[in-house]
Amino acid sequence: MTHLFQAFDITKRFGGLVALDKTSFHVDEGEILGLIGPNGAGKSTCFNVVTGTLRPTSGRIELMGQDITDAPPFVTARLGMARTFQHTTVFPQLTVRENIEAACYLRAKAGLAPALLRTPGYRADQASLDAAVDVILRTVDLKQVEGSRAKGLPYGYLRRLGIGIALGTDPVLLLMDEPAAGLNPTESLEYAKLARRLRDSGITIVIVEHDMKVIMNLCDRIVVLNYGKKIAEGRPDEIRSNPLVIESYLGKSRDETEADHA
Amino acid sequence: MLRISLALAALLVIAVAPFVVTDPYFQQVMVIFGIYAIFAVALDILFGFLGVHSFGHAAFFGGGAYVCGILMETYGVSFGLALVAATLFSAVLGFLIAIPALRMRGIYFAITTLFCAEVVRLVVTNVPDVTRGVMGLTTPMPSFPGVPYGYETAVFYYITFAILVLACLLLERFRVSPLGRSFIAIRENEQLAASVGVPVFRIKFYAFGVSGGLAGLAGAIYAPFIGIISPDLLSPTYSAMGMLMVVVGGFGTIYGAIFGAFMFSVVTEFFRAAAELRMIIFSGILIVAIIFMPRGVLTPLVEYLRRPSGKDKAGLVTRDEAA
Repeated sequence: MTHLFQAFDITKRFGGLVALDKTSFHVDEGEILGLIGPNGAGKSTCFNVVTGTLRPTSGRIELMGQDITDAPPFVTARLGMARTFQHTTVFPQLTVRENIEAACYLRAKAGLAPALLRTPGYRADQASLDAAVDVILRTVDLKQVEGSRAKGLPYGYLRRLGIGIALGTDPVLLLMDEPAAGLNPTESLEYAKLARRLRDSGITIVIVEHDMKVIMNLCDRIVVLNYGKKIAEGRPDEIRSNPLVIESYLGKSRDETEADHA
Repeated sequence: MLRISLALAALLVIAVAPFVVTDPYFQQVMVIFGIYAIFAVALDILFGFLGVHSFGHAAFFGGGAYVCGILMETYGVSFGLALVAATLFSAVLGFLIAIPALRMRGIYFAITTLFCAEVVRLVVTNVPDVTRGVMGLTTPMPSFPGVPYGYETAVFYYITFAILVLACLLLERFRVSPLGRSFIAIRENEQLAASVGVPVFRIKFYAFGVSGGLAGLAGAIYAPFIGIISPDLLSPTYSAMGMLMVVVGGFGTIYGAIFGAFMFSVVTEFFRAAAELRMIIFSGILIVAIIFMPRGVLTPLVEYLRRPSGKDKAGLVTRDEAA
């Protein structure tokens, strides 16, 4: 079968530094894929290359069979790929509702002239947009603060708003960059629930994370990066017992190190 | 409701003002106010809505004025046609300046727009055969058929304010449309806007054309109304005036741009009595306004009027409000 998303041998060099070295992976429809690795493993580079923020030095990226290797972010978004950012990234001066409305740019069908003339078609389009915004606000549980300005909202709320903004594009594939960073345990659980709910509603999810705990419980499949290379791929239990993964995350035990030197 | 009644009140004031203010001098001041307001609204499209800080908008205002002036004076083109031509010219000029400028960021963008405008000023200064150079170009008063002598100012007044009202209406409708929200999204966070599918460059490019065209239209009314224009109109002084009008009134708000224009046309007239001290007093007021009301003179008042009613307050109190 063809995969929803595929990366073939993507390499990214920054001068002499090889941040990503011929990494290949795929994402299947309806799964939650975890992309993990220790700090500096190339996770963020991989994320930025995949979403079009950075162009790969070499390699090829496909979304639903379409080549998106050189597509900038606004094009990949149009093709159904949305992303969240590592830091809380929202439109600070807008209210929560306006944040989502601004993110629904791709859903709007009516053009400029109907908007200026307020044609019936435009009004109908607005009504359906309003309904879509309501659905998103409920999905990320922010309906009760829709009128508050984003700037100054608590951190957990901003995280959810970030996800809501990505949902505004009506994505097929949602990539999340360290979504659990800075969340307390309760919020982490809430977040995992939300991710599963999104998957059940038909959105395929890729999570980049260095926190193993979140990933192990949530993901169907995991890809492990280290020094820009894929070192393992498989179900969480397979990953947990993979010696290469244990080594890169926990380091070798003293005995093993001594044995290597012997 | 409040918005509609305020808008209707404003329309009524605009409609009857020339009958109340019959002094010809003050009628002229009101036309200048309207022209400045169109200019400020044009600049606010880029400055306030899109967060694109153009430092060279005098190029569009002055460019429109010169195109209108040259067409009417040298080629005898009618006022209406000259207005259209000037608007189109400035829109194209906007696109042309946008191509290099939008590839720059921050201060480099500002410098590029500033110097593109300087190039236009130098061209106008140095082709005296067409523009009369530093001597200035006289522009004939357009003939308004059926309008008795002495009422031209009133005609200018209604033309100016009709354009201003139409521009504001369209801009307000645009602001709340999905495309308008994408402008605000770009202003707030360009990278995030791109990530939700907003074609940032293309939108900025179009906005430059529309903003330039509207500024050119303001300039095109200005030229025949004043009767003589010089390359000074293209100098950074006028670009700065535009920016100040937008910032002092409150950027990103249409009423703010109009209020800024009011400050720079009508309010400065009140200081005429102070003679040489006029601009010093006015500058002092601007400095105080920017220090104490950085989001615009009118913004605190408007936010007070729009404060949430009791039912909305049930929501979370944000840090912003609590502070």
